[in-house]
Order: sequence, then structure tokens, then C-alpha cells
Amino acid sequence: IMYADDEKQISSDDKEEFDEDDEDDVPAWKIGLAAKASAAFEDLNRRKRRKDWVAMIYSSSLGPEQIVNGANATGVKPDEIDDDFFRVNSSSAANQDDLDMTKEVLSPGALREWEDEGVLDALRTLFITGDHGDGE
Amino acid sequence: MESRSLVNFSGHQYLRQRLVLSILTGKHVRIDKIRSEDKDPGLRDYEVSLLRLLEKVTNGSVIEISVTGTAVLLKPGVVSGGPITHDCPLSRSIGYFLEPLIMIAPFSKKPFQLTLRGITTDDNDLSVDLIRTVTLPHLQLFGISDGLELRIKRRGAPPEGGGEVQFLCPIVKEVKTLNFVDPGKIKRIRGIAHAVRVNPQFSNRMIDASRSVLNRFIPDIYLYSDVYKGDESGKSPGYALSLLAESTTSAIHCSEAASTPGENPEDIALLATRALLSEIRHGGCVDRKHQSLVLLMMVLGSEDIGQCRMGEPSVRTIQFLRDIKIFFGSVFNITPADPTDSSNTELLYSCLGTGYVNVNRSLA
Repeated sequence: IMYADDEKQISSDDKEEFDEDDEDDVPAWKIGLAAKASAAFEDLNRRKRRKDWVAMIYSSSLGPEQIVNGANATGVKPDEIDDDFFRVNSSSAANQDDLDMTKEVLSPGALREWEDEGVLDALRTLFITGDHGDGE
Repeated sequence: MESRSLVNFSGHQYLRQRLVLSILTGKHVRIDKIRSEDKDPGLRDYEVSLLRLLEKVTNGSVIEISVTGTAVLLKPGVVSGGPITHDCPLSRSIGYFLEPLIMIAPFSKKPFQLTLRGITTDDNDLSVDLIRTVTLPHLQLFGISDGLELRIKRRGAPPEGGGEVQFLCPIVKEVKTLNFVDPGKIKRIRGIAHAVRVNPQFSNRMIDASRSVLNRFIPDIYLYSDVYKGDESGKSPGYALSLLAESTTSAIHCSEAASTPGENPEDIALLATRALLSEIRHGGCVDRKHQSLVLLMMVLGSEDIGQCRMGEPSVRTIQFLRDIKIFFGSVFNITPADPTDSSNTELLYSCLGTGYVNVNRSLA
């Protein structure tokens, strides 16, 4: 197999094919490199590029939760228990969460960040007493 | 004709906003598959109660609920208003019922004089304190102000309630176009701590705990200990802290935490205080809990471009924007408020007002 020598010249598409076909011969770290790379790229992109809210709200089929939490964080996971007859109805489990309520559930865990002095100080600029950098 | 003005939805979620939009546009709405998969299918008692209340504040509305309760059809009549009394079930607080009514009350034939009885503060919906101090000032942005008032006559903590409020709302011909793009800087913090049927010291303990965090930011903090005694304090013990931060441009951010069994007042106060800081950090000119109300009023505004700077939309707001498009055909343009600063997540929401005119009023 020429794989090792040709590695540099092989286009990413080809490499993906190789990965799938010759998985046994390839070192473990090379498996799924393309997928990893694209995931990392997407991640970077997501952080860099702002969300296109108009497109996501009006012309995508994503649910509101998916838009807010990111498309990858869908709550839909494949059922891992393959019991023939009985299927756990996930909607009843989620019922507690989808009450038509205006206030968001306060989570003491998530709010614990405010115990940190640095986080508190970072908010000072939003107050009239804070330093605005414009020599008020 | 019938099919053109009928809007269909599935599921029990977002029921309130869909009923409101139906009443404002006059479009019929049918909602099916209401908890059809649930072991206890159909409408809940509070949802039926809300439908009954909407029937009371309108004239000529037809509400049909299927035998199983999993489908409901609303053919809205005109908003009539006037003096109305409603006992809210104890499964939801008064806020659940008041929030949608605030959206339709300004477009009534007669001014609302609505008395609601039930639970005044809980952790699901806006408490009567936040509605009075935060929600109503948001309506003033749109020129709805003279005679706008919420009186808290009695407090009622869950589970037994026993509270009573009176909501007075003036009627308007049309609402003003909003142009609110400068969030300003936070200049003062206000709060209401109340404790009913428990040690009255609880209010002061909440205030002290909250001040221990907030004092560093700003000197202008006034946390008010609201005392209700005897019959005015409802049937159950409970306490809560409601906070709001107001900016130099009158942008208001708010938060709230209510007592739960086993929590001490200090923890409740810290929860509310930290939630307020998170809300302030979220930025923009409008609080997250009031995004929908402001966006609705922008759509109803005169035929001009209204714009408002807010933080990222909440889950509810996203669905609200989609539902607004279905009922009004209005689409918002949402762009970064500060394109040069990539760390800034604030957004500028703008839309063309529909020039909504209160036709109910002209009949009077």
C-alpha cells in the first residue's frame, strides 16, 4: 500500500475513503481525521461567525431550543435500549420542562460563577459608576 | 374564506401567545394534539381557565374544546374589557393569566378593570411585583400610560393563594413606533422583598444578603420591605425577592426568586441577585422576559420602521417571532448591534409596523 508515502498528496476526499476502507492498517489516531478536522473547523467557525438569526428563525426547520443551544445539542438521541415492545416515551419525561412559563428556571449551579470576584468586576463597566474608558 | 383566516397549530406549547395573536388579528386558531401522547391528555385546568377568562374579556368569542380536551378552536370576538373578576386556579399564578391579557388590554373597547384572585408570586411566571414595576413601564414605551396601574390588594403565596390584584389599563387608538437602541448604563437598583405568614425578619435578611453583592456596583440601591398583614397576606406562608436595575435610558432588567421549602432567605436572595447580574450582562434595552411583549408592540406600531436593541432571543421569543410571521406576515430584521465588536452578542431588531388600529374603540 502506498498510503504512507502518498499521504501528503492525497486530497482530503481520497483520504476519507482510505480511512473507511483500510481501517485496520491505519494508526488509530488517523481514523476519522477528516471528521475531526471538520468538527474543529465548524467549532471555530461558530465561535468566529455570528449566528444568522434571521435565516435560523424564519427559514430553518430547527426548533427554538436547537437554535439557542446550537444545532448539535439536539435532545434527540438514538434509543440505546432496543426492547422490542416497550419504548420509553421521552415526551412525558420532558413534560416538566415545557410548561408555558415566562421565567426561566434559575439554576444555582450556573449562577455560582458570580461568587468569583473577577466575574463580578467584569460587570462594572455596565454601571454608571464603572470605568468606561472614556474619561468620564 | 373560512380556510384563509384559520391558523392551525399542534401541541400544548406556546398556547397563550397563539390565543393572543388570534384575538388581535381576528384570525381563527385551531390547536390540536394537546398532550395527546401524555398519560393525562388534553388541556390543563389553568388552560381551560384562561380560555374562560378570554371569553369574559371579549364579546362574541366562540371557543370549542373537543371531548377529549386535546383540541381547541377559538373564533375570537371583539375585545370588550370593562369590569371583570376572575378566580385563577391554584395550579398557576396570576401572572400566567395577566401576561397575555396585558398584550390585548390596550386594544379593548372599554378600559380594563380586571380583578384576579389567586397566587401572586411563584417561580414560573412573572409575579405581580414584576408586572407592576417592570412590565407596565414597558407598555409606556409605546404610549400606553395614563391610568395604567396594577394594585396588589392581597398577597397569596402558593399553594393556597388567596391573593388579589386589580389591573387597570387605558385603551389606545394605536401604539407608537419604538426606537430604543441605547441601553445606557445602570444607574439604580430597586427591589421588593416580601414575606407573608412567616417571620417578618425574612424580608430584611433577604435585603441584607442581596446588598452584600450589589453594594459594590452602585450606591443608588433601594430594596423595599413590603409588609402585608392579616387578611392581606393570603392563606399560605411564603417570601420572595424581586429586583430590577434601571439604566440612564430607562432600560429595565429584572429578576426574581421565590421561596421554596427548605431554602433560607439568604439563598433565595442570592439567587435573585445573581440572576439580575446575569440579566444585566445579557445586555440590550429590554429584559429577556419582556422580549415578546416589546416585539409584539413593535409589530402593532404605526407604519414606520421600529427598532430595538436586545440581547439574543430566548427560546420563547424565537417561537413568538415565528408565530408573529404566521399571524401578521411581519418579519423582523435581526442584525448585530455592534458589527465591529465580535464579542458583543447584542442584536438590533427592526420591523415595519403594521399600523394596527384599535377598531374596537371606534365602535364605542
